[in-house]
Amino acid sequence: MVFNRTAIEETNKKFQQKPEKSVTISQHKKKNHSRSAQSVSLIGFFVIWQVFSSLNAYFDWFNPQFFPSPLIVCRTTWGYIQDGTLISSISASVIRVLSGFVLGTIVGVFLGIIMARSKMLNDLINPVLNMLGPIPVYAFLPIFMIWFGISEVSKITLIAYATFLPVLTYTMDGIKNVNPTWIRSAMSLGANEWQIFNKVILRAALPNVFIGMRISLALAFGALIVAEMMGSSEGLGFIIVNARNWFKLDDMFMSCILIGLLYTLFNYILILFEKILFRWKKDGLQSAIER
Amino acid sequence: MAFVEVNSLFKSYDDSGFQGKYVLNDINFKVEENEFFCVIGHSGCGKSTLLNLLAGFIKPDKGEIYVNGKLVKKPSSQQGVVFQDHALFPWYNVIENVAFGPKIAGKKDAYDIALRLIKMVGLEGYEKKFPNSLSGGMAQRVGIARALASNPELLLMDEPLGALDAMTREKMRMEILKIWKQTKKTVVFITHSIAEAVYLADRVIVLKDGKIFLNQKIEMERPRQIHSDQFLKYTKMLEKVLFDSEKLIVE
Ligand SMILES: Nc1ncnc2c1ncn2[C@@H]1O[C@H](COP(=O)(O)OP(=O)(O)OP(=O)(O)O)[C@@H](O)[C@H]1O
Ligand SMILES: [Mg+2]
Repeated sequence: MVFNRTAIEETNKKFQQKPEKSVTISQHKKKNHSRSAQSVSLIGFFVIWQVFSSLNAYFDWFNPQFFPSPLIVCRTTWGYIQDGTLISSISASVIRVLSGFVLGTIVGVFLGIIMARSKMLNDLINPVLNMLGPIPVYAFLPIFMIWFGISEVSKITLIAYATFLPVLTYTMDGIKNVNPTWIRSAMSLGANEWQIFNKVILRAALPNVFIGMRISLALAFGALIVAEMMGSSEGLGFIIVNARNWFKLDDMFMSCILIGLLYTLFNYILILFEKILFRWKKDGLQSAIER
Repeated sequence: MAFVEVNSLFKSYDDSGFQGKYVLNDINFKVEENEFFCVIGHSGCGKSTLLNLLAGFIKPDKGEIYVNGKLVKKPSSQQGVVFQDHALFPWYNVIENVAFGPKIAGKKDAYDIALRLIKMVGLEGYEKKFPNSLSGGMAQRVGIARALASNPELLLMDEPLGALDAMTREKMRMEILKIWKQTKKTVVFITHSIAEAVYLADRVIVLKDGKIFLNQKIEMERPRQIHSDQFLKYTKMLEKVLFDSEKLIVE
């Protein structure tokens, strides 16, 4: 399983945050330092890339076409923007990854709930999942393509399949690890089974569902690109395979960068959701002091 | 019939409970209405087990528990519980936590009930705070308010002050007495502090090796003076049972 580094880092960061409410000046400075270090790193990356490819163009170490500079990539991107293919490619990819991701999440959460609730269903489904789980999802693509044709269905199915397993695992884990005294207190406050499930178990497991979703997001993007590379006529993955035939490395670089940007954006949206939904957690870390 | 009646209660956790490995072994006692009833004993003697049985969370191997004439079979809002680790729902803020019970019971004035109780436990202004941002003593007071909100006939408290420091503990003791007097609830209160039991209780039972070693009424005016002779007399009596019990077993 490909682990999503950003997701894990973000989670770590949350725990490292100091529970201070009033941010002191030195902390402000620290934060700014880290901000500027991060931007230096990104800018530096592009500068070094530009310098290297310029040097290569000058000294002619190898065919400069194989290592286009950021400026050339920008120019290519501008071309894509002008003839409208950029928008259509991005929207094709976004629609696919979103539909697959949402579908996979729904199925994962639903199955996770059922399996956590029913021991029998768990015993029935779990061995199959344990067997299928380690198989890279990409191996299934040709099968899906024969089943569903070279259509949107086969691509979305693949993305959904890549998404659903981590979501299911984390949902189940979250439900199983709900603090039993929460359930007991709900019982002694008169809650019936449905209320306990709805107001306690699901609420308690929700943060875990989101961890699963963040891990799935990276897998969903992987599945998206592979699916688009193997059989489609538009999308970011298609740009890559299509460009390969013409040795257009600048198009490939553009596509790769766009994939990275899209993933970052989606991941950021998920993190934003978490911040809003799980305010109760943040509040705890930031103001755990007597007043 | 007394308000709470516990009749020859047996409980073991192994499935092979026949081998006399009972955590609770033939427990009998009665709690009168409005009584402040303390259970005291060493760690692991089965206090929480007894309370969980009273709350209906677990089932006895033998014996019955009656609360207000009704056999306890499962948890209900008639037996309010305050947990040692407060067990507040972290995703709800203070007022949502306290209003949980009345809301579930379909009461339209759930938030008014909650507000009144939050005021009573002295946490006005903290309604919108999340439990994680409360101190231990504050969280425990919310726990008490939450248990009171469904208006239980019996309030069960499992070492609610166990996690607090000595000074907060003392303040909370008085607070609990005040609440008890105001609400006129029957309280079963678990503790392992002798002084706490003598300070709070109308009646104390000492639990040891799964049996009741002492069932003692505490007859003292409130507020109780912890340095008075009478107070010391009761403390010594409980100490003796808790620490030199061999004699009692022989007798
Ligand atoms: N769920 C359980 N399964 C098996 N054994 C248990 C369980 N709960 C409690 N016990 C055992 O029963 C005995 C009594 O436990 P109990 O929790 O009632 O003690 P306690 O008096 O509340 O102790 P403390 O003061 O430390 O809270 C202990 O020996 C414990 O190991
Ligand atoms: Mg206990």
